[in-house]
This record gives sequence, structure tokens and C-alpha cells, in this order.
Amino acid sequence: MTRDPHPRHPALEDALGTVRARHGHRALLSAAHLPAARPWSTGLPLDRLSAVGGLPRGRLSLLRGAPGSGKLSLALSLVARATRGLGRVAVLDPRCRFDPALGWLVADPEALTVVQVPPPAAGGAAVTLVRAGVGLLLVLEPPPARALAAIGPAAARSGSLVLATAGPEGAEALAHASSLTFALERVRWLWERGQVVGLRTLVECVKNRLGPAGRCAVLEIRYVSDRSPSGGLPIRELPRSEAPGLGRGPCRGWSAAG
Amino acid sequence: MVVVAGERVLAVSEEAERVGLEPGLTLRQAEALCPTATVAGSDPAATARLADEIAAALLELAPAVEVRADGRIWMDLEGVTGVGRALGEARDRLHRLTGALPRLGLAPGPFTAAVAAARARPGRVLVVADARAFLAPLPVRELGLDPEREGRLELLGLRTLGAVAALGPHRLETQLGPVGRTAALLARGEEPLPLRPWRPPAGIEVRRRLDPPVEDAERLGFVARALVDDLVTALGRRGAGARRLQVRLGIEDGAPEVREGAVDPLWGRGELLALVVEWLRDWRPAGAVNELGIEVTEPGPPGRRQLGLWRDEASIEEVDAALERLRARHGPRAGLRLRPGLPNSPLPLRRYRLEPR
Repeated sequence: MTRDPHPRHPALEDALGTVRARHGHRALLSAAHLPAARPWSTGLPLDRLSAVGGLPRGRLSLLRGAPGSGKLSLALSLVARATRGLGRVAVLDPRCRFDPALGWLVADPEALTVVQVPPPAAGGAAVTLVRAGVGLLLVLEPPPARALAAIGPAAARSGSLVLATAGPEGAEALAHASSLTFALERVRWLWERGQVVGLRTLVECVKNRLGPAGRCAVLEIRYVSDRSPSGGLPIRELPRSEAPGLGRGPCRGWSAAG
Repeated sequence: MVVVAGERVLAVSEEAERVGLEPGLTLRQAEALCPTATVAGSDPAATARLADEIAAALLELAPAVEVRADGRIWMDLEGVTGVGRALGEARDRLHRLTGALPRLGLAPGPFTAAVAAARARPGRVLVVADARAFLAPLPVRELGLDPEREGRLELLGLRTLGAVAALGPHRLETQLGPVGRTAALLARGEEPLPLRPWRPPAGIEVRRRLDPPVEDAERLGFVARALVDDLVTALGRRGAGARRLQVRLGIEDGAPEVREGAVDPLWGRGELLALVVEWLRDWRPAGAVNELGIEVTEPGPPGRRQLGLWRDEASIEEVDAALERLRARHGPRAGLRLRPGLPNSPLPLRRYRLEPR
């Protein structure tokens, strides 16, 4: 006698039926039919670090690091590039931190909207935009956990790409909700003629629900007046030969160019 | 089965029709013909709902549709290309909506088409090219006159539509009055009676009773989801958007509470649901809610619906609508765009500025 590999439990079937009746047939999805991740190729080294070829749509990605680690520069470069390929892009800026001088970075200014709502309303605004299917939403302030609980499913349905920045400490809810987390650590500033012209930062994928975590790379971000052709600051990955002595920390999968 | 309204038979099933029952008979006559027939009272509300559904479904195939409670439906196919395809699609839609295969008639006018349809087999079309020739041999009973006028035609020796047509409208009017004139024109295949086209109801409403009454906003949101799905289906059937939306809460032991607002034409489920849930979240009803109703009091053009064919454009429009809602709630700074300032300024801060969209 062979055992049924999927024995039916009447009480469980009743419960599943109730969920379907109340929330629709899409409320329950077999693991075998979960949609595959649809990455957005950023054109930056993050594509390789993510192990899926880009930032995943329908998910939350997080850039985490201390002030001055380059997370905001990297985030704004991603936003600038997204204006070309992802339709409407929005920056949720409840504390009015967005610098309009960065306008020159943006490939398509018409596609970018800056949303400055009062901080208590930021979570709701984020949910509204994600439900509407915004291509990319950059959240400059961690939203409350209650809003995160709604942003995740909304993004999964609409396919919106949500990008957030956070400091190294705190924002546990954001870290928990993210599908992809990059930790940034500034290696050093770049100086030319007494001026800071950029920085080098170690970027490590510390959390990845879509593939293996642990890959890292050193990026060089330059603050120049000419933006990259795709939008954003010029960002390059340093080959290993140009980063001697680096690799401190638990960087298990060194991903080097060259 | 027979459906009666008052003492008259309104409609009969196919089985009842085979034993001689037909609309127009009195209830006593029907019972005499078929004592075992099931008699059901008419449900005007359900009939009207079904009629609206049928008309809305067929309005996509023809510019004018008339639906009557006795089960007869007319579609004006004048100018429609692909008449055969339209008829086939109409047959399929009627079958889906009613569960029965319709009989179809295609003729130059409504009266002839109705007579032809009555003679067609279920699911088939009877096409009439020459209305007068088709109608000529048929009995005068087809005109649907009252028994007294029918008797007078009998006395005049007019037993077929051909005979009525030959007499002419003027002479028949002297016998039967204006009704006679109309009858003669109908018998000739000249259609003096135009269709009375169905007009979609001004508003679209969905509502649900909640038993037991609900006090929790989250549970109301769940119910709202299902209602919004029905509303979106109804809007889609009409190819309309919502210009003005009304949400109504029935309060246990209290007066209903209503909230209404003008919105940029919305048609998408996500937009409508987001708006309704936002209202429900801020609502503080005076008591437990025993009914939730959502009504589009002012339908509008679909606008963005056609753009749904291209996903990216549809997303952009939906995002723009979401930004408009945020601006309406939080002010113009809820949606700022980059604008060139002083492009040659040595100060980068001056080169671009943020301004409301």
C-alpha cells in the first residue's frame, strides 16, 4: 500500500477554503507556483552582488551603512538610472532631504517625482505609491513597521521595486522586511587638490532571499559634474589588484573585476 | 415552469411551451393546459438586474439594444460589420447569462425579427431577407392585437398578414383606428415602431448586508474588497470610470452615514480600493455597521482603461492618479518634479529646483 504524499486533513482543507472564500483564490499559492524573481538590471556591480542579475522587482532592497558610507550616493544613482527604464520613479522624502542640485544626475527628470509629505503620513504615502505600481520607490526614512507590513505584499502584487536606506543600527523592521540587503562601509575618501572628489566603499550583500549572500566588492563613486550616460554618478568596481589589503570582515565571496 | 405576473403568464420554460403554454395566457388557462406546471411569481428586481446585465453585455456588439421583461431582446445591427460574428457572440453571451440557448432572428425590422426568432430553433438564426414575403402567410395572431380587434379582422376575412398588408394601412385604420394602421404597416414589413434603446443606469451600486453588524474597520475593509471587485466588473462592462464615488454605511439603530467625493476618473481595482479603504480607515461610525454600499454616482469616460493594454503606460497613469490623491490630501509638496533653474549657475543648488507638478 502506498502512502499519499499529500494526505488531506479535513480541518486544514476547511481552513484553506475559508481563506480562499474570504480573500480570493490568489491568497493561497503553491510553493511550486511562486513567481520567479524579476530583477531590474542596474548596470552597476550590484547586479553581480545580488546573484540574480539586479535588484528584484516586487521586493524591498536595503542599503545600510554609516553616514558617509556612500549609501545615499548609490541610492540616488540607482534612482537616476531607473528614470530611464522603470517608468515613474518616486523619492519619498518626508524630512525634505532631497537636494534638487542632484537634478543633473537624473537621466529623465520628467519621470522622477519627489514626495514630501509629513513624516507621520510617509508610511501611508509609500503604500499608496507602491500599490499604484510605481517603478521604483526610494524611501529615505525608514517607514513604521505597520506600513512595512503593507508595503511588502503591495510591492509583490504591483511589481514595484522599493529601495530604502538606513544606518548601521536600528531599523530592524526594515532589515527584516528586505529581500536584499547591502552593507556599505567607507574605505576611504578620494582627494584631489585638497577636495573630496569621491569615495571608495566596500559593498557586501549581507542578506539575500533570492540567492547566495556574501558577495562583496569595492566601489569607487566619484562626485563629478558629468553624470554617467545612463544617469547617476560614475561608479566603478575596483579590480582586486587596486584594492590591496582589503577584504577585512566576513567577506566570503570576493567578487572582483579584472 | 411558468412565470406569472398577476393573473397572466409572463414567461414559460421550453418544456411548458411544448405542451402549449405561452406568454399571455391567463393563469387559469395555463393550469388547465398543464396542471402539473410549476408556477413562480415574477421577481421584478431580479428581472431588471438580469435585463441590465444582458443589455450591458449585448451593447458591446450593437449600438442599440432593447430588452423586455417577456424575454425578447432586440439588437440594432445596422452598420455593424461582421453581423454573423456579432450574432454568434450574442448567442454565446445570452447562453452564459441565462443558461438557455436563445432563438435568433435576423430581419430588416424589429417586428419581423421577433417573428423570425420565434420560429427559429434554439441556438439557431432564421434570416429573413424579404420581410413582406416572409410575413404574408403567417396568421394575424402574430400582430399581438387584443381579442376584440383580432375578432374584427376575422370578420373582415383577414386571416393572414398578407391579407392585412394587402388591405393597406389607411383602410385598416378606418376599421380599427391607429392600431389598425400600425398593424397594416407591420404586416407589410414596414416598421413604424422604433426600438426603445436601453440606457445604462446613471449610477452603479454594489452593496452588502453585514450580519452580524461589524464594528472593526479592518473587517469592513475585507468586505469593501469584494464590493470593489464587483464594482470594477460593472464599470468594465460599461467601459466607464468613476467620476464621483459614494460610500454608505448602514448603522445599527441609527441613521445611515454617507461619504461622497469627486475623484479623477478611476477604473482600476487598486485605485478604487485604496480610496475606499482610506475613507473607511478615517471613518468613525456612530454604531455597528450592518450594511456597506459603494456607488459610482457619476460614471465617467474610461480614460486610462484603453491604456491597460500597455502595462507601462497603465502604471504611469495609476501612479499619477495616486500622486494626485496624495496632493489632494497633503498639499502640493506631495508631488514635486525637477525643473531646470539656472543651468549656467556656478552654484549646483541653483541649477535645478523642485516645483509642484
